Amino acid sequence: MSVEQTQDTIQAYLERRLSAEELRNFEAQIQADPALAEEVHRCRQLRVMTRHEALLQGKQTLAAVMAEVDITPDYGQHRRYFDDSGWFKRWLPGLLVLAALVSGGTWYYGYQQQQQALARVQSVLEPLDNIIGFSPDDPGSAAAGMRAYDQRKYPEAIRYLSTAAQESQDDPSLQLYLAVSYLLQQEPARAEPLLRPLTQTDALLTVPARWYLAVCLLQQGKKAEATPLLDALEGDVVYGEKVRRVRG
Amino acid sequence: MMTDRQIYMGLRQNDRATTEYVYKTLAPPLFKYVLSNNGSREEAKDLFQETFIKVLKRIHNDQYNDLDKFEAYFLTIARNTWIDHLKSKKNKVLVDPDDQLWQRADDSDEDALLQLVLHDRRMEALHAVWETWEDTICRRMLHQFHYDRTRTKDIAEAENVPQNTILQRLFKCRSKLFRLVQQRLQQTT
Repeated sequence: MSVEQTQDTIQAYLERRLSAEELRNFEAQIQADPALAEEVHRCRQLRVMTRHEALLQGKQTLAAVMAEVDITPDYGQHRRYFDDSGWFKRWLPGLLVLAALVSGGTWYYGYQQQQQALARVQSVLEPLDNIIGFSPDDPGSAAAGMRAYDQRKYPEAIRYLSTAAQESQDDPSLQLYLAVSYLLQQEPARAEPLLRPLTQTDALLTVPARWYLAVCLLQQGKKAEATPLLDALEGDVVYGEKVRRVRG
Repeated sequence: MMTDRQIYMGLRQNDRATTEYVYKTLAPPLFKYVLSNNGSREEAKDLFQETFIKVLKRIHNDQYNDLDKFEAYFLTIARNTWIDHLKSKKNKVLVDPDDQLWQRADDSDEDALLQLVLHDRRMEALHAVWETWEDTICRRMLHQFHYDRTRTKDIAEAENVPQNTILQRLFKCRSKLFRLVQQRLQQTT
């Protein structure tokens, strides 16, 4: 579509009438087409300028009217718009107390809901089965980390797995077990950056990574971000039941 | 007696009769209020002017729904503006001279853009060229599209030409206008 053809779309864009998808697409077009970008800029300037002109003219007209017409101050039928006293002042303290009670009650209810949601998340948070095979005599940090992980000694597991993950950045399984250890230690903020890249790959660990990322987000109260992950896992043979439990 | 819709259309089109109607109807209670609340007649006039301009801005920015009761809308804004003024009476000037009035900030992006009219060289040049531009056909078409927000399809129907013709004319008129703006900018540097 040529720039000439996009007049109405430009107008809709400036008036914020485009849907979210249309907006995304149009902004991408603007980015890619300097001629279109210039046209949008010109339209915006003209829009602002014509409005400014209209406001200036309105101001001039008013000034002319005010210079010619004399006014006698009188409330007439409009007194009610200026009545500062009366029932509102009498009722104000009561209204304030009521507002405080309502907002306190709402907060407490929200807090209770949040605690219940966190309890459900905790109830489904379990360690991922260890599928990495290390010899019991292996002295390396990865092996030591996984031994600690198996024994549920998560602070120790984190210490060793952090080192191992640094040494073997290509090994996504170490990243995953490290992230799970953080979650089990109630440190979701540390787990999140480890989990996100793992959810983008097409590998064996992707599904568990998505589950643990959903749990991680829920622990941080990021319910909206967790929802699409949970939706995608609802049909999973392993995690589907957990999703249903966490949703209550 | 004018309806809210008539007032809305009249103010939008800068109709003098509408402005006079609004002034004659709403200035008396507003003046009475200011004079009864520690104000002078001059301050009452300034308050009316400031309120009028605030309302006009909202009409132009489509922030006023013409189904709302205009009187209540106008007088509520006036009352709140006066209360704010009383709270900061020592420091605040109710009405700034000339264009400083336009710099009073609102929450909308449009006000930020409006500031460009005053401070951006290109916008100043655009304003100057627009005021004296003799191409009335282009001027009218651009005003219809950008200010009245008439769709190209509706313009085409009114002009009895294909929509494509209107699209091309708009583009050409705009290009012509901005060529003049560019020339003016080059002349003034």
